[in-house]
Amino acid sequence: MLNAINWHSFLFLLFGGMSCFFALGVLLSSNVVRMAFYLIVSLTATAGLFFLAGAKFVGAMQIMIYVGGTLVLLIFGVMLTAQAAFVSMKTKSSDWVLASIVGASLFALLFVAVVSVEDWRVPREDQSALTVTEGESATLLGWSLIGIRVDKEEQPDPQLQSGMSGYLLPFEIISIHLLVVLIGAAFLARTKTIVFHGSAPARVFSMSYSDIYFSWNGRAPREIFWLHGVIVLKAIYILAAAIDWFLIPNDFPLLTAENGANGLGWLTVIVALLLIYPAIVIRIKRWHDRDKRGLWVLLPFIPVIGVIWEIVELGFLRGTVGTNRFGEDPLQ
Amino acid sequence: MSLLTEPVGVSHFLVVGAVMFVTGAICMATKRNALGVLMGIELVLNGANINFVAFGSKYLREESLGLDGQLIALFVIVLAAAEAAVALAIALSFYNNHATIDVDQADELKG
Repeated sequence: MLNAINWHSFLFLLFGGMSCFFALGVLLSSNVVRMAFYLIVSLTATAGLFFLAGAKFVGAMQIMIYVGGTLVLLIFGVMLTAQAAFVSMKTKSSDWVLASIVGASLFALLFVAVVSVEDWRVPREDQSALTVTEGESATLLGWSLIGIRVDKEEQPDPQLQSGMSGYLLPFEIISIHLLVVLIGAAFLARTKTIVFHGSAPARVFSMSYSDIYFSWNGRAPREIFWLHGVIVLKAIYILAAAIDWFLIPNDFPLLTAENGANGLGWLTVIVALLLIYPAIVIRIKRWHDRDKRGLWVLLPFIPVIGVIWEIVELGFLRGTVGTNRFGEDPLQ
Repeated sequence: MSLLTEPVGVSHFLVVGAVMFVTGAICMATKRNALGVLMGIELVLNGANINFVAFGSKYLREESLGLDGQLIALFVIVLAAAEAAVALAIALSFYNNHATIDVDQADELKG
């Protein structure tokens, strides 16, 4: 009896059943905390299905990114919004009726389509003869992400050979996409202002990031100059130079033409050019604080003396006390 | 009993994927909590992912998609992470401004 059981199928039934069961739990529960928990179980069971299909790397990523990252994010969202009134929100029964009719017909359609294809329904005959090494795909996946399809290099048709170039471009696009999206999400969810406690405890000085980095109106205290004008901008520049130096190898064929051998690669140059604008506007606001016009930013063009003068005046001298022609005193 | 003794094919995986997809779609349609809608989206993406992995599996089918299925599945996982981050930021922003998380209350753009 036990010998007759196909353990691959048994595990498939276990994980597949768990996936479906807890997915239904997500649907039927109206308590958002329970829904989050059911979703975790369902997605973990899905990772088990990936392992059973031989996609070990994808299964591991499913657990790490989905269960470890995305769902933790979701649970934070649940915790941040879990007011008593919103933990449990009932759906109107008319919505349920409509949704179950649409859902049932969609499922019926999918089910008929799935079981009607003979080639999909019949399992591979020599399945038991396959070895575990057939599923070793992590290395192959890595190769194809940098543009080499090791698994499909023997493509006889020359027309299709150019399509065997792997996934370098989609990989780059999705990386940039993820970066942009995460910056955008941080921007959307940020607190609206940053708060400095000045010398007068009664009044709180605040300046938004867009004011600090992009606006040349108003006055800025020394703190802004040192923290944002020096530390943050230098840190960004050093980071860019480090990425250039360590992460972009000089002999990488795509980048050799532009990438200098002295570490001042194209990334460093672009970042340095982008940083000029915030550096200038922060200095202008600091000059305003000293009751001087913004054109004083040109001072460092005087060799040696200009630079020292600028550091002393902008970095160490307090702005004019009280309101001047450029605005209120940020420290009062 | 035949399910326990016979090996599984692509169809079996596709049925699980279909269940998750439909459940997620209904979730998106019926949940009033914005986070519930988000969970529905995750279920839909996972249902699709199961299909990609199943079609790409050498164990299930001789003529499989091969690596392509797994690669697309990886891209979908990354996209889902990005989408969850943005959707959550929007939900939190909405919650901060309106003191509610009910998507039915978000009707300011109604003409």
